Amino acid sequence: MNFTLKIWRQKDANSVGRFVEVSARGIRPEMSFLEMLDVVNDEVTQAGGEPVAFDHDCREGICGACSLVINGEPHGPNEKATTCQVYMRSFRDGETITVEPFRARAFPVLKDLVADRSAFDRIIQAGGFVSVNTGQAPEANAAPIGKEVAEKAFDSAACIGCGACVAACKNSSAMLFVGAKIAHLGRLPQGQPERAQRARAMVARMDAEGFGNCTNQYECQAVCPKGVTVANIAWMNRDYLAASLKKIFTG
Amino acid sequence: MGVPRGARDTLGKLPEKLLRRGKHLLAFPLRGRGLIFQTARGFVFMKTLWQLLRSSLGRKYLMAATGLLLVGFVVVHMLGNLKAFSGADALNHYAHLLKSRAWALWVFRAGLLAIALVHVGCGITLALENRRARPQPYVRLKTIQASVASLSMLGSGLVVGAFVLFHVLHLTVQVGGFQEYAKLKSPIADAPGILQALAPVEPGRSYPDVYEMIVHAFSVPWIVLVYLVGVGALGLHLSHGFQSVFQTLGWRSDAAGPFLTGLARVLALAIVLGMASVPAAVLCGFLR
Ligand code: FES
Repeated sequence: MNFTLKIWRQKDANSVGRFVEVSARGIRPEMSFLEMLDVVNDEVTQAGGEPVAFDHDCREGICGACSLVINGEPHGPNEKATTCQVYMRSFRDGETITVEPFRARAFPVLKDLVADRSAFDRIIQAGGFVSVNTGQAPEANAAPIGKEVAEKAFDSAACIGCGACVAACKNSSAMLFVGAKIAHLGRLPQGQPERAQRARAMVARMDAEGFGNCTNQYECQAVCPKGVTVANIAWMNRDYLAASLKKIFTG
Repeated sequence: MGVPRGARDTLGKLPEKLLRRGKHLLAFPLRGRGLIFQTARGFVFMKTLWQLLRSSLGRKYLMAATGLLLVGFVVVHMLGNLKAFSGADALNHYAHLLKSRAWALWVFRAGLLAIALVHVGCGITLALENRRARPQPYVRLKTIQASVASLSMLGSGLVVGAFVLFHVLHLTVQVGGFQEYAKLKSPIADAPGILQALAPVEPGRSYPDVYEMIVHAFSVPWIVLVYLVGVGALGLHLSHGFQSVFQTLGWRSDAAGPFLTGLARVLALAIVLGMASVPAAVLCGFLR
């Protein structure tokens, strides 16, 4: 298969970027999108050019390192798949494919297709610790957690922090990510002691990072590679309100 | 806690939790009587409240709460309008009731204005932040499932705001060429009922003739057009705004989502039809 790629190239964080057309030739349909970029980079390097920088790590859809907005969709056209799990058979032979980095003020582009998503790390840091006793692994039945609760907490914990929610949001809001993190620990008994403090700190950090504000359009849920739903945002909305009122009235 | 031990045991776990919380809340003004402590406590109170209200979520809560109140007002307003279909006396008597206690009317108007200003203020600051949150736009970003209404909230909101301004100048303040409306007066026939009990009318006295006013007002096609556009924008705004309230206040679950979307659309349609019916009926000669 052959493709024409319209790729965003940007020298560094302080430069102005622009689109560059690159052709990808001899691509096999079973290659992933990232493998296709590897092939292109091989050619670019052999021709003495600078390879296109892009983020990747596990290449099996579990780490959240890969990104890219492909033809206007974060992580490309496939539902519930990361870019590393999108295969070239999903595209038409000869197609022109637009490839952009995730764009948000809180995710500045460092080079080409690499956006700095460390704002997410700082939100996680703001969340602080969870009080868990050290020592031996706890006995599995010591903290009974109902199946329903466990399943829901796991659904929230499925978030891999890739940032596609921010990339897809018309307002560059990070509320699906933050909601998933707050709901994940907030649903479990281990998360209770610091629950209110965590909700307030993470939301404050999210605001400080310069993300936008959710307008309940749910584009984030539609692109999330892990199927994290906006019920997590509703959870965050509830939890943050309760935490703030608690702090206001009981100090 | 003043609950005897035995009673507490029978109360079970949940009430005990509530009692503990209750004690916490009630003790708040009394804990630490010292002036310094109280001042510090007040400072934390104000600071946390301020943090809440200026945060992204805090302003979203304000949007949702004020939006809900405004929806309530719109529904009552619409039901009042529909009195036009019960005839001139019904509408005029209802209008007389609203105006019969001037202080209540002005308190209500001031409250409504404050609510609307909070709604608009939060909406505009949030929207400006959203613009700033992506300085470099995409050349291409697909819209996967966001509704037209959700994408045009700022626009539809501004149209509604402009329309409300026009409407108030037109029928409430009656500026410019609309001053003649104030001269329309007629006696109200004595109809026993709740209206009569709340705001009795004196026989032989003349009251503002609201019915005649709307017949005059809505006989002019361009005015009816302005009202239809305003009400249409309101419907669009509510079809997204009303369901948003539930999500923002944390009352929406994934399972309830489609139901809430449907509910908001039905409500928006009902309001559009109810509000548009009076001007349309006048223009078509049905109300005269
Ligand atoms: S590279 Fe790890 S999820 Fe794609």
